[in-house]
Amino acid sequence: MSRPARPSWFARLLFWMRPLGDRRADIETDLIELFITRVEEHGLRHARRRYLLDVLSLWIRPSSRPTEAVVRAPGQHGWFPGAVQDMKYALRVFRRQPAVVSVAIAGLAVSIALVTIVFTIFNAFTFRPLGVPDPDGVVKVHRTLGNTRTILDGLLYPDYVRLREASRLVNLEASIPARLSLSETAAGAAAREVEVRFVAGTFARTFGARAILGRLIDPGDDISGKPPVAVLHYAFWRSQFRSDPSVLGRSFYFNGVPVPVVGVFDQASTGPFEANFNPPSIQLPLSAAQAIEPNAFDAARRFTVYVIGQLIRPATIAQAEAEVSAVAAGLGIGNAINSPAGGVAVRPGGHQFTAGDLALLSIFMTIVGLVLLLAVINVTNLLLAGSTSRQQEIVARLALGASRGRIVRQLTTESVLLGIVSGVTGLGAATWLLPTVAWLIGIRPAVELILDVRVYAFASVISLLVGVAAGLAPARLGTRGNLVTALKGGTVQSGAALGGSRLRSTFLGIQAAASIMLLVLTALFSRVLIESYRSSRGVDSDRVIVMSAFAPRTGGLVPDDQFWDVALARVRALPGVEMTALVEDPPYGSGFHAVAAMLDGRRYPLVQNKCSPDYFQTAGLRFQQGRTFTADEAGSNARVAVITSALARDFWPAGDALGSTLAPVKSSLKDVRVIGIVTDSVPKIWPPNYARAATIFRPLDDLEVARMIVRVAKDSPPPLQAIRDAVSAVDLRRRPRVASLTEGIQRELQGPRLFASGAAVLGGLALTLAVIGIFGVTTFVVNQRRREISIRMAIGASRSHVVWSIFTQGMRPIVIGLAIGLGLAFFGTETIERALAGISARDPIAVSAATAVLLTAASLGVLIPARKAARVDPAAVLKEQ
Amino acid sequence: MKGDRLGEFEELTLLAVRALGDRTYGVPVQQFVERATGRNVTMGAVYAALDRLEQKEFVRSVLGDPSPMRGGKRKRLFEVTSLGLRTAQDLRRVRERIWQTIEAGRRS
Repeated sequence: MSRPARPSWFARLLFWMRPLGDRRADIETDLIELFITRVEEHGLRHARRRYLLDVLSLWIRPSSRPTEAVVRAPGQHGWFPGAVQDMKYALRVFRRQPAVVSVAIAGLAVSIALVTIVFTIFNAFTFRPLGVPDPDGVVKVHRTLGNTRTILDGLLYPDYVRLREASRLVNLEASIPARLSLSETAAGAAAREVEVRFVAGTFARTFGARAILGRLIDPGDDISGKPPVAVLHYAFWRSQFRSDPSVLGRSFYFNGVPVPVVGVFDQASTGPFEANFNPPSIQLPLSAAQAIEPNAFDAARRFTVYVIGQLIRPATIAQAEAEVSAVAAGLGIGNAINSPAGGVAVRPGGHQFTAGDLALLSIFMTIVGLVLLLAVINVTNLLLAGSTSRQQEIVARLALGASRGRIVRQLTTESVLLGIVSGVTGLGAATWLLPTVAWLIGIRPAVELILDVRVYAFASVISLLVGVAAGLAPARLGTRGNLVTALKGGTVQSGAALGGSRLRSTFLGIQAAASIMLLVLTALFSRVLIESYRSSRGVDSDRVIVMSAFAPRTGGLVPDDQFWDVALARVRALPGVEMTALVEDPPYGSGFHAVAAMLDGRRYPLVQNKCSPDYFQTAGLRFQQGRTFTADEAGSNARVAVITSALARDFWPAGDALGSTLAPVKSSLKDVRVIGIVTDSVPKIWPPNYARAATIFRPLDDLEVARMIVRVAKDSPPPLQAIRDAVSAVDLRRRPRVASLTEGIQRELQGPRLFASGAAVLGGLALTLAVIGIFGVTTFVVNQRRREISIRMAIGASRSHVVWSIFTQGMRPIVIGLAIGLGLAFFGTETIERALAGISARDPIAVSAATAVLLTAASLGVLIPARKAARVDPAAVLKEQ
Repeated sequence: MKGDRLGEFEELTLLAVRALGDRTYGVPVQQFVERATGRNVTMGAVYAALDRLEQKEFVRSVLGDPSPMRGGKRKRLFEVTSLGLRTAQDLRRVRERIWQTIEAGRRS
């Protein structure tokens, strides 16, 4: 006897699991009846398939008929449907007050964007592993000096080759970082400076790099005499060439040498370069170094290279170090000229997360957390305003039987939704703003600032936290109402609400204080920027060119004194050149020598510089008294000095500086006699505490550290290339670098510019947040006082009187905060003042501008809700009671 | 929501109930619609349509007598209300007017 035909067990299980209430039996018999008919007409397979489809259709189309077995209140079908309902309700609430919600979202989104940008930059520099398949296996090889812990980067190339051949546990690779001027035309038009790495032919292979376009550098490219090729890093290709594949086969010109582009690295292959250690934009074979800079690299490759290695697993760093040190000792590598007991050390290659990083991170995150906290407080205030105006609705729901938990869940859903929307907006803004911010603060294009998983995770957590934090307080307040009062149409004056209002005023005051300080700072930095463009720096920057030509480590061909004699003469003979001189620290250069001096018990910013006698005239400094060094004094390292007028004025108020010794300034200079006083000049714009530094000029005694400054004729194009060529011809080993002083100034201004823009962003943010907060609080307070306002108006108060009373009350915490903030800016910011190059923190223009901005914005935040409140119809409000 | 109007499948279901002589139930309706349209129709769709029709008061359901075929259980039987019938007829008239217009346009 055959078994009766039945639907498949799976379909029956599905049917059994579908809740159908009292209709189950009815539907089940229908389905079985159909099944039997189908078996007879079309066979078992067909019937089973159709039975399954029918069951699935019951799942897909929930019956809309209310079941009779279980009566559920709407919104209680388990958790999920309730959440969807909450979400829909939240969206409806948002739609009802679009202005308030958009302001709240904007405030949170801007803060989240800021936080995300800070985190992204930090992430790129600290957390991101090196762009190689095994980042933990990357090692750096250093030279060590004797027993000291001094470490020197780099090995001589021949030493590197011997070391590489003897190492079995680690693949060692050589590279040379360089900054080259790149042009896309043979004539050198539109040249820009790029970071490049000259790498050994096996470099890409060792570090597991892959190409997204074309090919990578291979050992066949790294042969002396072979025409050089270039491979671009992904970030550079994307930012500078907009990911244009036609860059392949194009030629770049480095120092006039054409170099075809043969490939582009893929995005992950950023190589074993740390983000904070000049990551390259372009890689070239080592052999190209000789072709592009023949003066610096000889064909025998007796130059220094950086050595980075990749461990051959399962070797460890300790094993590799033992092997490499043994090999180095055997070969006598590291026994450098100046260190008989030197050796070779192997260190982890990537950035190691240190306690210092942690400290930096916590400082960053504290600031960022404060900004977020401000944002949350303000949005809370804003939502509080909404929450009280919604109290009636909430209380009605409570009265109809909704649990308080249910209402809290509803309000929490709203704030989580707020957090999510702000988070998405903020993340979008961060993505959009990131390139601009990176450019503003001068992050090199080779550093990849991408929003990776860590950043997304960070932003999501922050958004959720912010959303919940911003929404919970209003949620709690909203549910705490007294049913009867609220239903009668009054607002609930609970103790918590009143106590909260004092707290809110305090918060507002703190915010006003913080914003005014940031605004003052912004204004001050902007003034510094303007001043540094406008003020005379004492040096004819547009007519002065700086040329440096240090000898390579292996020594120049010509001794320093001969070199400079000839170079000075040749450059002076060039057309358009008026004067030349030598100086140790040219203005706005990379370094300066600070002298620790005190005046009246306070640190006195003072620098010392050394120069040839004609420096003053060449740089454009004029003598107010006395004279410059004589040839004898310059040659004999005489104990004489030329000082700037500020120093003379400050230490010899009586005007008797000339002829005195420098004993009052510094005891170690007590035998140095002042022979001349020149006009002031700004030796350095950044760090700003040395911008007004006085200067002591002494005769130049060490030609090894000298640099040439060249004064060119007015209104003629500076002969940069001519100077470079003239100097190169004197000593082929030296690499002259020529730049106008204006370039140095531009570089120096990056610091203040960064600070000014940072302060502006923070100040603007603080201001926006403060205004949001003020708006929220005023709306809240006005709602609470509706009845009182109505009574006042009913007994004759004029509309303007009501507005004025709300306005003065709303502005009180702001004005108090403003006063405190200004007080702090006045008396607590001596450091800032000293850092600001002569622009005082009491600068009236900056302070009044900042105050005006804050007061205007705050007034708007108070006036809008105040005017709205005064527009109520007193009769209607009073009738509600 | 279609409000008080009839969707296409609802109309087919309503007409099927009417065609089956009222006081019919899910299985015959499903089979009728499937045969009439030549497309596969699931029971879920039929139940949903019947529920909607009932909500719009185009059909009503009554519990039938216990039938021995169904293990002595009472069946839910459907019949078309006068409102349902009127709505279906209105819909048909509208369609016919439109078709007449189309035919007239083709002839001229």
